[in-house]
Amino acid sequence: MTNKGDQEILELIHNPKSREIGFRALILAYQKRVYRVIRRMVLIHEDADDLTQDTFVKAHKHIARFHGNSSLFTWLYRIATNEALTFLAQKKKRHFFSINDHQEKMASFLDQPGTLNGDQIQLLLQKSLLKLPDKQRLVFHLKCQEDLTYEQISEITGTSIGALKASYHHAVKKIEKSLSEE
Amino acid sequence: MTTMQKFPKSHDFNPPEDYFENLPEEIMSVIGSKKKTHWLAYAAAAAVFILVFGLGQSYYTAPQNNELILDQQIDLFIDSQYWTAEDVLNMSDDPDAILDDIIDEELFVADDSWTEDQQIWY
Repeated sequence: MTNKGDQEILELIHNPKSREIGFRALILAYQKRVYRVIRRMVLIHEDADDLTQDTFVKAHKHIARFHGNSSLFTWLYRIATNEALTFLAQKKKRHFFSINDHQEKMASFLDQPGTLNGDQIQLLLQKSLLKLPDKQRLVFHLKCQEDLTYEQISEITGTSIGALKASYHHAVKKIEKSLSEE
Repeated sequence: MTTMQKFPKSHDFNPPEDYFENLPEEIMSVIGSKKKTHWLAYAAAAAVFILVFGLGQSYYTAPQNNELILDQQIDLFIDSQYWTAEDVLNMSDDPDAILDDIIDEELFVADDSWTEDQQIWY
């Protein structure tokens, strides 16, 4: 269900005279959250920038079909997370990386100075997260980092709440094990 | 200890300075440029339709040569980016079949005994 702020944005967008103003308002309302969820998945700013822009461009293309059955937030997050997952899958295929090669490259990016401001716990956590399948990593971020409910994550990912709980439980166990081995 | 206490919130990866100040304008600019080039895609599609229709008239006289010319024309439109990948798929009778072929060529084969959930989530 859309909140009042979303309703005002949608009214502006659906009016041809105020469509651009409305869409700018949408971007301003959600750009930081969209960027953050994408950046957590792809890590590199330039990639996150491209995907964030792609997310809003797609949203602009399909906003006429948005009927308010979900919140604007979950609708945008669904586009954003699909963009990120598709990007990661294509990146692995395009460069013929094995899954381990891709993990090593992402992990080496985390080692660069300034990426995580020298926070060793965060560095270990992020490297452990890279060992998870991308979708499982996404569920972990949405639950643990974004504080979303399973209902919201289910709307975003199109997955049952039961499967999400199992996936999250598995992710936590794997990360705990990975961190204990460090 | 709860999960949240065990795993501290990650510090947000910081974007460059002024990134969010400039982002709305960049996005609106991309949207505007896509609108302008959209009509080109339709023009290109119409041109190819006429070409195919025209070539189809003489197909029985030199079918192999016409098919080769058509393939070259299609490649030209794709290479010059008059058509995006999305355009090509939209013009296809069966875009899913094209995507399936691409996936079959590029994606490693998962264990057939895995369910879809197992392949994706574990």
